[in-house]
Amino acid sequence: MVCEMETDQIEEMDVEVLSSMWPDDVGTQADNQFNVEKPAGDSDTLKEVDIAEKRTMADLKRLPELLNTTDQGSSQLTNLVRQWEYMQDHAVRLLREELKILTRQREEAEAKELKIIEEHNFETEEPENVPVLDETSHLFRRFRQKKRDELVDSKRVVIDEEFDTVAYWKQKALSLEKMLEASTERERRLIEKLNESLKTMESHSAPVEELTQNLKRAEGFLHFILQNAPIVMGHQDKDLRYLFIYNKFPSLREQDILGKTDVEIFHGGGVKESEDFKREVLEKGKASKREITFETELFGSKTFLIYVEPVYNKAREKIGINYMGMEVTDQVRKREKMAKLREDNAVRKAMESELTKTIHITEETMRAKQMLATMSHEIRSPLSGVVGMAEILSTTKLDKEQRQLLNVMISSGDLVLQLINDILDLSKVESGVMKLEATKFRPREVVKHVLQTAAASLKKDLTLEGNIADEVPILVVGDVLRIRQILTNLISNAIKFTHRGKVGIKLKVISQPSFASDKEQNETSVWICCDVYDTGIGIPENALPCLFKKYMQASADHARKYGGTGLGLAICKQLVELMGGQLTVTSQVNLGSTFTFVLPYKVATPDDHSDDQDEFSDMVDHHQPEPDDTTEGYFQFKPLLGSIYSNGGPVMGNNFLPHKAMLTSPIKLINGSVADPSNSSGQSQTVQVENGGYMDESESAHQYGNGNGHRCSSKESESCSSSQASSEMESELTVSSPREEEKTETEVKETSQPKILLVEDNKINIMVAKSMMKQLGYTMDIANNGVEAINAVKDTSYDLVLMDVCMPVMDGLKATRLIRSYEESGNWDAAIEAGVDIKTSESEQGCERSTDRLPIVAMTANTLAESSEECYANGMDSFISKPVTLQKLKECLQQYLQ
Amino acid sequence: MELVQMQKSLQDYTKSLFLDGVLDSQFLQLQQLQDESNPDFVSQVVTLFFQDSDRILNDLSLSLDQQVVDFKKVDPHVHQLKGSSSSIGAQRVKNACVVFRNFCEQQNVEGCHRCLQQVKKEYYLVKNRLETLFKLEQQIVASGGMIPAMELGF
Repeated sequence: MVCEMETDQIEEMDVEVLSSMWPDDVGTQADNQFNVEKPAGDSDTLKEVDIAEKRTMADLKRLPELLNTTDQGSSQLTNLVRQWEYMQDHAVRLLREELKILTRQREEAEAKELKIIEEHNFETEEPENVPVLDETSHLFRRFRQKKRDELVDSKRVVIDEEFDTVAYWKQKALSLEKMLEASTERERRLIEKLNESLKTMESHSAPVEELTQNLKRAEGFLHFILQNAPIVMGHQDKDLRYLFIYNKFPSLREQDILGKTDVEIFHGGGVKESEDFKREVLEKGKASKREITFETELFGSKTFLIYVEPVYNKAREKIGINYMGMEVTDQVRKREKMAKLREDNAVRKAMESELTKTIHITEETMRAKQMLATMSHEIRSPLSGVVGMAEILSTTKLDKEQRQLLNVMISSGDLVLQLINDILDLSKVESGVMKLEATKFRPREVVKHVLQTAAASLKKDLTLEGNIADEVPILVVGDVLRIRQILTNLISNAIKFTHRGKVGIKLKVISQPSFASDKEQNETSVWICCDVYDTGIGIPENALPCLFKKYMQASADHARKYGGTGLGLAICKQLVELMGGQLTVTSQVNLGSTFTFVLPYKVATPDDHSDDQDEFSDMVDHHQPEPDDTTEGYFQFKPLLGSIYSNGGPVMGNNFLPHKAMLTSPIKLINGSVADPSNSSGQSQTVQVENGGYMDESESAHQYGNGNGHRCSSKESESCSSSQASSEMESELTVSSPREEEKTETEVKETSQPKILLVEDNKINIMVAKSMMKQLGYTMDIANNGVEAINAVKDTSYDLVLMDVCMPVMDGLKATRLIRSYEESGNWDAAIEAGVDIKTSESEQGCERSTDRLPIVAMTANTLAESSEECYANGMDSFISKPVTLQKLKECLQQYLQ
Repeated sequence: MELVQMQKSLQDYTKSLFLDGVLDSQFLQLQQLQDESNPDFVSQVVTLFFQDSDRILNDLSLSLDQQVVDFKKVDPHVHQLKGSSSSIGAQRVKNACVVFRNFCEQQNVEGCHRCLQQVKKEYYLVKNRLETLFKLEQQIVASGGMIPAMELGF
């Protein structure tokens, strides 16, 4: 609109301009900006700049009329008119005065004439004087009548008088004649003067002319100023009907506007508002301004700043309104845009600061968690050493008191280790580092193993049972490690709070629960509901809500009585939720509790053996195929020989490690027995089987034909929890045990230097490790990544592999998995499948060794991603945290190279 | 300079490296590995570390200056540097690398740039200090003295 205006201004001024406020292409040339109510047909009026040419009085008649009837109007015009009136009045007054003088003189003359007639009553005939002014003629006539009446009276008188002297009359006649002559002369002059006066009257029209010129100039000025302005002006009567409009919308003819109200002319938004506004101004009698946005079919959306003032006539009565509207659409749009921008800006700023805050908090949290994890990790290593040493100490000759103290020490150490593991787990889940693995497993076996493990450490007279519904698939896919962790945790929890009766696991298939989203639903998935129930002390209802909170137990009382960190259930809940399930609890005080978790699984085909070997062979007894095992739906474990295991620390086991799954019955381990001083019953206890019970890995495996049974040690039955520590402890154990040393004579170790493979990509690390090895008296082979390691393992029979976790090409975890897969299956299919280029030349050599489990020790950095759990889960036997020190290396070699 | 004095200043200097946290006990491990059969072990390893680190830092600078930073490339470098520095006991470089990796994980380019500067700073610090240390050692050896064994325990 604005730019339109600017371009339009270039046009000639005196041509008829359609205001740029309105579209150029509507309206007719004949229509004008000025529209004054007047008889149709006389349309071209005020709008013309060259008024002089077309001026007719009719054009201006209505406007002055309007101006005359109102107080307002152009002040200039009013002044001009007033001046003109004043001048007219003045002229009239002058004339009147002159007339008065003349009339007086005439009266004098008449009076004198009358006197003469009285004196000479013979003269009856009056001179017929032409009346100069009509106004005075009747007076004159009346006067003449009177004169005639008097004359009649005087005749009589005159007749009575004497008319004797002629000379006297002659004299009289002469003087009278003279007077008459003078009178006639005056009369003539008077007529002359009158004529002159008339002329002056005519010359009085000169100010009028001037006035007209002024008016024309004023009008021209206004028109010149206004012709391109985006302004609409109008006058409306008190019914708000237009009497006058300037710069109307071009397509409207004046008969469309004049005499009509806004609502009659326009339709759409804003029209009513403007009408109401005008009415309001009219009623209140006060001029005011308002911005109104119109939404009409005629000219679309336009915003006008409207000024309305009431108009009064001279009697101070309202007779209508004047209104002036300026189109401000662009300004309003800009203003609104600015306001919106400002608002957006403010919002953005607020959001920014909010974000910064969030980022800050997140960073802080991340840092805190990272620190916690690192700390935990750092604490764990030395603590493992403490506990390990303590355990070694327990194998030495101790008196009763020392043993008791040592047992407290060990169990406390285990507790702290457990707590640290829990914290690590939690921080892993919370920081999203915890990754779920999809592996095939047999739910029945998992339940059985969990119960077996629990039974192994059972100190109470409890029955453990497992009940699996027939419809539960034999093979499902899920993160078996985590599921076991949950189950073990819940079971140990149940056992902890149960003193008599039973604790059990029940599995059944259920339909898709309501909390699951639809997208998870597909044909192959199945929802299994797992109940872990007990007949224990139960949980009061008010304690249920905080049950799954971190570091919370049902009550402080319980915490004192039963110990524990209160992290177990929180971890369970988080793990279950991570897997897309839900963990709930129902409980009755003194009757027992039931923890229920519902999880989705994918159903796997049971005959898909090639795949599950490398994935879940640890969990499933491939080497001991009991037909019952896969389909059996009920297991029961009762504590055999009463409570045999009393030496254990608190029952914990959420860190169940698959490769240490103890499948053998506890009894089988009991080869030697040590009197347990802590047993108050005095019953001779076959506590730990450190010495005699230890089996060489291969022996153990052969003896029980059980691939899972490597390194079954008493530690397992004692405490499943001290998993990280246990491997180190065991090593120390075997080293320090004299009987063990007698037993350890395997060919490899006697004949030659043990063969060690270091898998590491960092040259400096290699150099340092090599040098350390050298100092310890060993040499070793180097592989730079997982693929090289697999090839090296394939070609050479190693006694120990030190495996970096994070490496290019193939990381240590995967390499270990593939090596384990080979050990299980006797072939490198899995590795080939994974894209490793296996040179098949010497494959026979590897086959020989396939039943042995190659010790693989991880070398981890202290990061969440390289946690020990993951190492164990991938089949590693132990780990050394980096940087490698002589001491760590020495311990490791002692443990594995006997 | 008197030999005894040199030995004393070497000891003090080494001590200051530990006190400043430039080196940690892992460096002692290296020193322990140095014996008659391998008299230049520490300087060999450290030299290798310098060569390796110079290359890594160069690669890192290049990678981070790319229009689109490929964090898959950056992270292994940082990991490598972290492993090396950890192995020789360049504690402050290692710590800077830990922070660096966090930013890699977050794919925070700005943070990575800052960390790279920090890592470089720490790296040049340790390089400078170690070079001085070796110079001192060489002077002692040139004067026919023995390198005093570092005591464990601080």
